[in-house]
Amino acid sequence: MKLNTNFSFSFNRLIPILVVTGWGIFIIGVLLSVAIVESALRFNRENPQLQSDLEKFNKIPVSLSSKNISLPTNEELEDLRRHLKGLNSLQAGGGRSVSSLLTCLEAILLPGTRLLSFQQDQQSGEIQLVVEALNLEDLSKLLAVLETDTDFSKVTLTKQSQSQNGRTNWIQFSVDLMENRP
Amino acid sequence: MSPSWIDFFRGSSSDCPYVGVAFGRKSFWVLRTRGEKEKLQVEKIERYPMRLSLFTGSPSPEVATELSSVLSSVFEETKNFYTTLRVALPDPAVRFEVMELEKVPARGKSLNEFLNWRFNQGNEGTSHALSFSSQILGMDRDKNLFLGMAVDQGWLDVIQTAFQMAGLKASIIDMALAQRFNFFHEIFQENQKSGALITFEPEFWSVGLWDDQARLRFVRSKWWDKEILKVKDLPLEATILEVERIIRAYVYSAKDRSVENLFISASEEWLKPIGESLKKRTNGNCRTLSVAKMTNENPEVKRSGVVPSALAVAVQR
Repeated sequence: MKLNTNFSFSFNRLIPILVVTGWGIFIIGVLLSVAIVESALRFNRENPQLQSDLEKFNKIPVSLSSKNISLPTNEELEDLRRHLKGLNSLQAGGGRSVSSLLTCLEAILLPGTRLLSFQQDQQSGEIQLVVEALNLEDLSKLLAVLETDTDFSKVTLTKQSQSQNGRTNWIQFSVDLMENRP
Repeated sequence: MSPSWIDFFRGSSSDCPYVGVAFGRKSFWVLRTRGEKEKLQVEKIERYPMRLSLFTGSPSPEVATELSSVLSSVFEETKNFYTTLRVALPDPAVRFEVMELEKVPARGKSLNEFLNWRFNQGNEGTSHALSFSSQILGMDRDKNLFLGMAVDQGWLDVIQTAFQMAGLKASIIDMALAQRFNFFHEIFQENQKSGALITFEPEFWSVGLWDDQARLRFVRSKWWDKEILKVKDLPLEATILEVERIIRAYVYSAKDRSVENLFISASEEWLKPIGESLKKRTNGNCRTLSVAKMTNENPEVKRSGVVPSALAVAVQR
């Protein structure tokens, strides 16, 4: 019996591993080939039906005008964008965006009143306003409008004082609001 | 014997040369061959002396550096084509034992632990780090014949580092006797008889004994006191007597053991005088193995003094 001893690392030791790996790759290759052939045959079988469907669609083209659909106007699109923006801001911060609220307040503020400061906690929905009015009547009107507005669930007058600006008789008051969240 | 399926992956030696490096302590041989068996062509034979000794004392990085610088220059001409490189370690540097075991330890950690214990028996406290190689030789009387070889890890590292520094990778590093045994194996197998191979090289002598199934069973080798370059300096009588004692001890150590054939291997110049001395002692029952007859003549290559290990390591086994 010949000797096959060796003190060096023999690459012959790797041959069985390489052979097994080679067989593994070969088997995977065969399975992939079978899958590809099977897919090709299936496609070949379905091809006439697909061809006829395509011809059918070509004969009856889909037309937008035939459905009598009118496109939205620029105003409608702008309105939709604003609503979407508001909805996105609601989802992102848990409350309405500052710009959305300011737009709302701008519509509410009466002539003879002016907004001095605005603070919003988006997590809790609390809003603190500082507003100046020329007389108490304007203040009462504004509070009444805020209370009836469905955007706010709670309206509280927290502070009322004479304006620091001494030139006119402006009345400064602080109002706490709570956003009405669904 | 039918070829193994692994042979399919082996390159033919006619396509690319085989380079064998046979180490001694003071020098090493480099031999390049091409082809197989009868067509074996020796392309180069060279002996390179070493300033620092190998396999003597403690291994040091200086030896690896010197060896790598010599190897780099030697392999300069072969660096541009694929070469199979094999290394023969001198017989006395390798410990050889064939064990008869009920059960062979599983490969890996348990086998390594077993060989470590076996080769360090009696050396507790002074044991060296060893590197092992092993082979199962078959069965004999319900026992597994298990061959174990051990070499000093430090010196093996020196050899491997030197080759690495020279940008070379040896595919086989083995005992020189294993290479010679494989080289002459067909001759040993011819008559299905047990035998002994006695080898004389400039730095050591060795004897290997095999059974009737040509399985190597016992090896003994020794360094000469100094390198011997002339046959007249050989302590021939004393060596032959020692070999005789070894063979007798082997034959009487177990039942059914015998040594029926005697073969001598040495360089061409030494073969005739050694053969004549042994033939006188054995009444002609010995045969010389000529290295030159195993190869094609190449007038460009000078073969004087080439050691059998160098040729044996430079051929496909």
